[in-house]
Amino acid sequence: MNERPRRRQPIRGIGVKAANEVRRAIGYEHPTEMEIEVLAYMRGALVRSVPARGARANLLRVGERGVIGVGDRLSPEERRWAIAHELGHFEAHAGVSFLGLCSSRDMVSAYETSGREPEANAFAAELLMPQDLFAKRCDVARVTWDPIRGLANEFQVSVTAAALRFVTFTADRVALVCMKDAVIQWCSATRDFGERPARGARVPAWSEAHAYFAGREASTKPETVSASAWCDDADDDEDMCEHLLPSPRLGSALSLLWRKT
Amino acid sequence: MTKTRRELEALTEALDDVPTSEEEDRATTAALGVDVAKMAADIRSKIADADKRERERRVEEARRAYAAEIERLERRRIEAKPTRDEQLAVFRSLIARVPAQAVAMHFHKYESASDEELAELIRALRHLLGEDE
Repeated sequence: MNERPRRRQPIRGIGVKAANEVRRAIGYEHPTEMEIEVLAYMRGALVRSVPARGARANLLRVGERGVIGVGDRLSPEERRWAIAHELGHFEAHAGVSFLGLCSSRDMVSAYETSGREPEANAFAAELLMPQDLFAKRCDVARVTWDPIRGLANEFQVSVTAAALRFVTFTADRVALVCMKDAVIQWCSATRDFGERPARGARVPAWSEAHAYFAGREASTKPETVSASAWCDDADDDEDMCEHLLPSPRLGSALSLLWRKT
Repeated sequence: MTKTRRELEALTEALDDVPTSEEEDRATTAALGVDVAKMAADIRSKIADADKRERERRVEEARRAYAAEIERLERRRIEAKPTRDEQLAVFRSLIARVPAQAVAMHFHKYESASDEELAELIRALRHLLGEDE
């Protein structure tokens, strides 16, 4: 039968546990103490730069050893993340073989439906931004891009990666919205944020992001906007803080939303 | 009783595994002028320093070994311009040399991998298999 395989639900704890095991085994305090290439090597994975057209990185494992090929056009932060992600597969999915299917469409299907990508991402997040170091830094006076940039610099990750991790640990009501060509691509929010901006929806009018995509002058400072612009469940008189981070080169932007109440 | 004998008995008594109370321990260390908290902190600090030095030594060793292995891998030549079918055949023959459960590959969009990417995968696989050039 050509029935599509059922998706195995990801268990992010697998990735987190594996990352903590790596840290315990090597014994470092802060993840930037050593190059990630050396860290991976100490675990049995050899990192090398390769020309990569589609994929950012790949992993080939034979027994206890592996080679991580990482695209040669990535920024240093993207490179660190890509290596950590593949190391996550190496550490957390050591008993998994996809090779029996590697030359067919099934291989891709099995891979994509396995639910293991979020586990490798959870590994990368914990490895590069350990909870015990990162979470305490998420208690900030004002939710803006400034403290998040500081975290990104300290942990040598992209601003987006740091922002997603920030949303995981902050006690504030925060959402991170990624938009491209005035359409919402994805949104990550704290549990208590309320109704989230929907994926695929147009960027709402009366938001800073809307002004940016409309080609008008948009503020890149934290601005107070009506919460109802972004959230259907907001009262008309509720305000929220929106801090826009545009990426003109990619035609995209990130909005950091903070509901202060 | 000779002095040596007395000393030996005192030593035996001291080494005897007689349980002592916490109060007795405190009194003894106080009488000897030992600051237990400071002594413990000193020991912890020395252990932490030794651990750090040992970690730095291991990292430095790994750094050198990593550089050497990368050099070996990059020296491995890529065969000149094989066709895609030939590359796939080589790849599959290398894979076939290892038990299925001992090999894994996480390669997104494998089917759209370019010839160059495939050649690099073959080079990496040969390196992992320890195949001579």
